[in-house]
Amino acid sequence: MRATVLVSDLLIFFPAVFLFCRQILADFTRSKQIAIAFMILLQPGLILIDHGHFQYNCISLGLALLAIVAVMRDWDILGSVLFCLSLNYKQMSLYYAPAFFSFLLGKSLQSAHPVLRIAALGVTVIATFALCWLPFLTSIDSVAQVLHRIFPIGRGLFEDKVANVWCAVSVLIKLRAIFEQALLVRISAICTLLAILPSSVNLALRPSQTGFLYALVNSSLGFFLFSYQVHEKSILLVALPASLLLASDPLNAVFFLLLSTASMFPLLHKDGLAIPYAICIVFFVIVVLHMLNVSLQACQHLTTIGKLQLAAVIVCFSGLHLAWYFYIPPAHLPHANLLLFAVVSCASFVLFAVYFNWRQWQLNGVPTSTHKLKHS
Amino acid sequence: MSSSSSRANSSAGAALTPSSLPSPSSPSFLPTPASSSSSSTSFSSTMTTTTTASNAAPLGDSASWAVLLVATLVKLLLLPAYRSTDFEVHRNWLAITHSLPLRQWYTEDTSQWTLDYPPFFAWFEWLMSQVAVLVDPAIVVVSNLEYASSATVTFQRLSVIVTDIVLFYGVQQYVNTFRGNKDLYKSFIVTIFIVLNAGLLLVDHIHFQYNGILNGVLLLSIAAIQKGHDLIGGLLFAVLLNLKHIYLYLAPAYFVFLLRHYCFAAASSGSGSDAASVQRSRFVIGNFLRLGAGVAAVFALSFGPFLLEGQLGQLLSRLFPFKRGLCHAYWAPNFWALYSALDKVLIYAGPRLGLWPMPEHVTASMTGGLVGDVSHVVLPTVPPVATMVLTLLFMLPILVVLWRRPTMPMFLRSVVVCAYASFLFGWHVHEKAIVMVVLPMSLIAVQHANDGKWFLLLSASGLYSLLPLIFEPREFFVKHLIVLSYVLLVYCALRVLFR
Repeated sequence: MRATVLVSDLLIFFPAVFLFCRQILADFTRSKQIAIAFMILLQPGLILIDHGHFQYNCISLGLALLAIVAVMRDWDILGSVLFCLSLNYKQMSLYYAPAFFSFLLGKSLQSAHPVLRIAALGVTVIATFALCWLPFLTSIDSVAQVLHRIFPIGRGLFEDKVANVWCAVSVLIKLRAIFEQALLVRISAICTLLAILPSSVNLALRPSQTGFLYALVNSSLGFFLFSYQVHEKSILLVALPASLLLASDPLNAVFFLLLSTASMFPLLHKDGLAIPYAICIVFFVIVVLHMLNVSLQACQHLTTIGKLQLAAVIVCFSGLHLAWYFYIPPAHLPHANLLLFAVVSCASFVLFAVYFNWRQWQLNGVPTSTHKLKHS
Repeated sequence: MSSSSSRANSSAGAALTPSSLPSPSSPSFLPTPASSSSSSTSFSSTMTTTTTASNAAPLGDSASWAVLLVATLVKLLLLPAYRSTDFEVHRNWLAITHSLPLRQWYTEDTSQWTLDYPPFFAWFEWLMSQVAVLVDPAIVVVSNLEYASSATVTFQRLSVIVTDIVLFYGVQQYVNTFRGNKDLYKSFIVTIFIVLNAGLLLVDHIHFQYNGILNGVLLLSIAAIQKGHDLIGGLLFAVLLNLKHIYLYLAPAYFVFLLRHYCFAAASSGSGSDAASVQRSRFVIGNFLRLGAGVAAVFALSFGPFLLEGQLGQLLSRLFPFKRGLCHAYWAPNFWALYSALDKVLIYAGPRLGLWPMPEHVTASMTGGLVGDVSHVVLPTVPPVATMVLTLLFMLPILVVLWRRPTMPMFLRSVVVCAYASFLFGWHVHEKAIVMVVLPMSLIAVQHANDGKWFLLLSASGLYSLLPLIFEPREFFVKHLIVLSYVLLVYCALRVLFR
């Protein structure tokens, strides 16, 4: 079975990454393209979850990545089809939907025949969905049953400890005890909407290549932080577009990837993957340090904020892991270490959300007639 | 239109530009075969600098340590992999050396895995057992057969990883003798070939053995000879023989070389690699006696305590178990494998062709997967002495050449050929012994393009022959990928070197 994950990884995710690096980063040298592809493929979170914990995220993420490449290359119809496939493979890809929607909307509005394009896209999406759902479209009941299984609202606001705002808030205010479920669903829906609205509006009004990548990060991060029934593994959905930003914003992308992997450490430790976790992270750091030609001299050229960030990341990382192994939680708080991981990760994710949103607003909109991300 | 939009684009802040990547401010630490500019097209040259790597430190420069780090990480990933019976063998030896007095080390047989390495290895196990008892006291209880708690597994696997530092040290000592800038790439390649050797990964870190430290001592001995310290090299080899007597395969090469180069040298002080052929030199009796006394002292240190107990015979029978049969349970891919296969074919082909009648007692004597003395049916049974004669016969040519030209390159080649001849024609050869041929050949591979080609062929086929050692489905991808990536690495590195 592990072979099936490996094969699907090789068949779908690897080509998607290479396509991204060749098509979207076409202005970089060949060796830099390969270096970035290497770094994206080596992200520890994906390797550990897909091949260690065992999941098939590579397929949905690969399809989503192919959709991203297609849309950035202005092959909107193809991109929509691929995204619908990714969505119908794993409903988690819904996290990307606002970004895709806004980008396509923005591009269509700026094109020559907006109504025609929007109609074409709409037809494509509906057709793809129909094709995927064909066996289940026999009656309303079967559709409802599928939806009920896919979106298990009954499971509660959150399960276990996850780096989510709701989990962090619940440390102090026991949300699940105070409010009833229907209300919580509505609250989380509204908060999620508010979280993703700025970036989506920005993207729809001023669509751009890099803006699209940032919007992907922002919308998935917004969903992760505020949505209902989020799993800690969903951070992988945010990690993918973050890793795509390695070419333009390497420092923050690397920090995000490291912290997102660390947020999953309790899960990996439970699976007995503590040593592979450490090794994958060390490998990733070595490769990144080498590919980006980082050395002690380069560190001195970092801005003050950069140095603060580096220090904060190191402190968080070591603090969390030291606490895990050496701090014995008091008897009345048996999950203290898990909570520590969740809360610290959540705080860092909120900070990243603010940062990436700010970065997206900083960009000026440019016409999307070219697909390549150009030299400045 | 695209150009104007691109100009407008250029005012946008964060497009995905190459210039947004941190520029290389200092040379990265990997050496380069030739100084090439930073924007090269081939991927291997990504790891080059804009300046020649003349600033790399001689011992343990950062590139070599990086290689060691990567190798260690891979080995740590192999911690939970398949372990063969050799794991229990070493646990048993830890127990024997720790819990029992010296005189019982070679007579103890509670477990079927009796001690059959020379005394120095026993002392090595004793040293490790001092740490083992702190990790898990149950390891060193002799009666705890098949004991494999997670602490035990971690401890033993880590012991192999930690002792591999000797291999690293040996490589470093050897490559330190390279001189000049252009040789830095060669020394880096040799480091990679040995530290990341796939054969060692498969045999040491999955199947479980201690070849890392043993080959480290071998490399130290070779390095000493390379630097001209023949006596030290000889003594180190004697130590090696007392660690694992399989290195007797290499003894003829050492014997001939040391005799000719050390005992006949006319006070030449140059390193072995520059020495011209020494003709008509005197026999320096002093050196000969020194070498002899040194080797004898090493052996005395090793065998002495057991001689005093009168256990010499027992020791020798443990070290040289000729009852084990011509071929191991897993046939090593050597000449006798072909011989036995031919025998099997002839058993059935003969009657069909009407040449001879079907023999009576045809059993799965050699293919049964068991270890034991067997006889061939159609072809003559091979006695141990025949294997020795054949082995020496095939070693003879290169030893003659070595006698006439006792230079360092010739010495290395003769080491490889002796190991190879013993592998092909020896008695009860394990397939793991191919590592003993491939590893020294890594040292030769960087000398000429032709040597590189032979090394590629030899290591590819040798590693392929090691694959059946690891037969569980869990390691299926792992073992194939390890072997494939190593062969690819060898190919790419040599191709860049011999461009």
